[in-house]
Amino acid sequence: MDILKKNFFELFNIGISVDVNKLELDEKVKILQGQFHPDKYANGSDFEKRLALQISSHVNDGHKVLGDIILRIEYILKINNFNMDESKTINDIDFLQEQIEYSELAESLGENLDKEIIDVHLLKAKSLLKTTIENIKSSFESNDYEAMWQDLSKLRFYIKNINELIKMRNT
Amino acid sequence: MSLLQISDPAKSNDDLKKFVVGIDLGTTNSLIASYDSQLIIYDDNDSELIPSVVTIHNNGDLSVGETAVINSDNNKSTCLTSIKRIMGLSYTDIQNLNLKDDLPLIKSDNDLPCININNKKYSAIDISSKILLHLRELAETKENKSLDGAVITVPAYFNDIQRQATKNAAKLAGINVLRLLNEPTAAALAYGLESNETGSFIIYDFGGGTFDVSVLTLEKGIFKVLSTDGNTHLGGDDIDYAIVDWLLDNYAFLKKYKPIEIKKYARLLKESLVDKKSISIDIDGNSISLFDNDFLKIITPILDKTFDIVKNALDASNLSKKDIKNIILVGGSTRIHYIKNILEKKFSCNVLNDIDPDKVVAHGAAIQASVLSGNNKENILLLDVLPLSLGVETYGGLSEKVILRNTPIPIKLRKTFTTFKDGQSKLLINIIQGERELVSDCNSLGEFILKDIPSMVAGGPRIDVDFQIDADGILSVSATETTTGNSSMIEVKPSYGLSESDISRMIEDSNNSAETDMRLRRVNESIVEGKRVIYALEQALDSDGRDLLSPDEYNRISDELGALKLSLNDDDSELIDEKINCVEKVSEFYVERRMNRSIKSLIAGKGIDDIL
Repeated sequence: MDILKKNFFELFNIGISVDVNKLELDEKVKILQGQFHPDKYANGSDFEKRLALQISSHVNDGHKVLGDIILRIEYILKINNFNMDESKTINDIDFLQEQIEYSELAESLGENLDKEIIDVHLLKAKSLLKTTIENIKSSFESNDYEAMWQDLSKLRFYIKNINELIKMRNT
Repeated sequence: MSLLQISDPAKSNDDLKKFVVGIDLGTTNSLIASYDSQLIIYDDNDSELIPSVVTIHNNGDLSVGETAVINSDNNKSTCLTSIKRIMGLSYTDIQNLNLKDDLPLIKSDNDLPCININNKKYSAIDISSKILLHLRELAETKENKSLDGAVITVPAYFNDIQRQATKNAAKLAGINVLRLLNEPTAAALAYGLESNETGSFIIYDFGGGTFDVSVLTLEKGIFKVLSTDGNTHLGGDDIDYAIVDWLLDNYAFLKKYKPIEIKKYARLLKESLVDKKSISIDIDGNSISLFDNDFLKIITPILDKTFDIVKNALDASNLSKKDIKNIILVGGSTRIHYIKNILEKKFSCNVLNDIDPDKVVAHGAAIQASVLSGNNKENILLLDVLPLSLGVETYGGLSEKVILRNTPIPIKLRKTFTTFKDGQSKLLINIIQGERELVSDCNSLGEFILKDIPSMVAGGPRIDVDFQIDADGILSVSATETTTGNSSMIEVKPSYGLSESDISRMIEDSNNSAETDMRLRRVNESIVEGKRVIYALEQALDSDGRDLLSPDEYNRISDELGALKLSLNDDDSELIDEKINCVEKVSEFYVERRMNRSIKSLIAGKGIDDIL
């Protein structure tokens, strides 16, 4: 089945890119589900029902992957046949230092919640996140998947940090 | 076959119309309705709300619905109520939940709870199937037609086992299930079509035994669930039991009555208090009264639980209070006016209850049934989510999530497993549903044994396990060993309850009556199905057959179509079914081509501006 062989960018007919327009993606998902959701084949043959279930699941999976920055970058690496070796460790000393400082901060905030300090660090983490995404984008432009993979690990940390800080802020 | 929902409004196809219904199988009451330009609710002795009650008489006879309530006599029969509360639960689950329902349950094989009456065992599936059969007969008698299919509603928070149990009960009742539909989604459908509103909404569905909340967005024809949450053991019943406790504390004389009777008085008080300051009733010369401030005190802990769940659902939807346009009340328990007042204060938005909260779910289910059957050409799409995360048991009794809750369905996920020991030939995978970390705090859906794994060193085999969730929220699992491509190596052991083969046997047992009736019915069904297939295929061939098919391919399909047409003249359902099968087989590649082409025309070359 051609549709099921398409990669998610082809499926939604959007260019392969680190950035994705969420609204455009949501709209395309709706259009495709409007055609392929199994409910549209409730009277169909078993074959049609099976195809519809597969296509509809594929569309939802694509939505999930392309709608999430981490999954999306992993997916770009995957379709470019980059070997994502989980065992490789980050050896960027500055970054590691930064994360050690962050975990100390998180620990002290856990004992003594200070919203102003949280806000300062939230701002900092967000700006680091933005820079990292920009770096990943330019690595992608120059087909440097190794650098993308390195920065993706950092991205994971920054997103985790931001979520933790927001959670602390809301308690 | 629908072949991409071709429809030609000019051509009347009334004889192809199917008789389909929506069924709200409730804890306290059930409804059955159809929707063909207008809503018809089928009544039982003039009552549209049909009590979900089955009375089993000592002589083995059964009464269902209204008559079951009237005919229940403690000495000559056993009256079974609120059976939905134990649907899909194991005997152990029920012990742990400490349900107050006084069902005479015993533990049967494989931890299945059963009711034992005169040495005959009835499971929750059996009892529910009796209710469904009663509903089916009411509708069939009214319309003088046999039922082609039904959409059955379930609480959004029902897990896989509870959904399967509901589907099996329907199969036992001889009902073809078009779709299981989540109750709040059904309500949203009815509400959305009636009001034509768009925006984000909360459905607050407080029924007799279950509480559900869904956050949805409605836009033209698309009903998209963002998140869902609930408690399948929180409902009007719990309010009744809370009143019972209060009554026993305050009126000692009640202690001499049976619990089921006190519950009846509790319910009477609750229902009579709706718009009054206080209510008194007389019981054998003793008067009991309930004031609204006492009532509020009694129900506050229960209502607070529901409000917490609403908050969780809203958080999970990534919306905030200010995004919510309306809250829609569903379920009989929302007649308690405090609920509306409190929600209005908490959310500062309009809380709506203008569609009868008892009927709105059946109404939505009936609409969906008519859409799915093709009777109703309205372009409606329901996009729902998985209510509870799915995982597999990992080392140390922990649940590793494979698909997170609130993921849009249908969805398929693949997980790769391998062996621990050299030469290991079997692998056991325990599938878990629930949010907690520990497997013991979640539900086990079943154990899957992967066998005939090729002998290799530990970690050598790669076994891809696919978890497919369909639009009903029901899971199916398949596995392939990728080094050998061996895919037929899966064996399913349900954690408890009935296996697929148990169900088939029960269906056979119930079918061995009225052979000729069955035969005639089957012929009729085959002819209708054959006509539909011909109609759909001819429409498709007319529209693009010449473009997508070579003359040779076109003729091959036409030939099979001709054979099918011819077969309709005989009263031979097997022959017709075989010809339908041939037509479907020979046109499979055509179906694929049409689907592939439609995706191109849908997406290709369209910018965001064209689509919006």
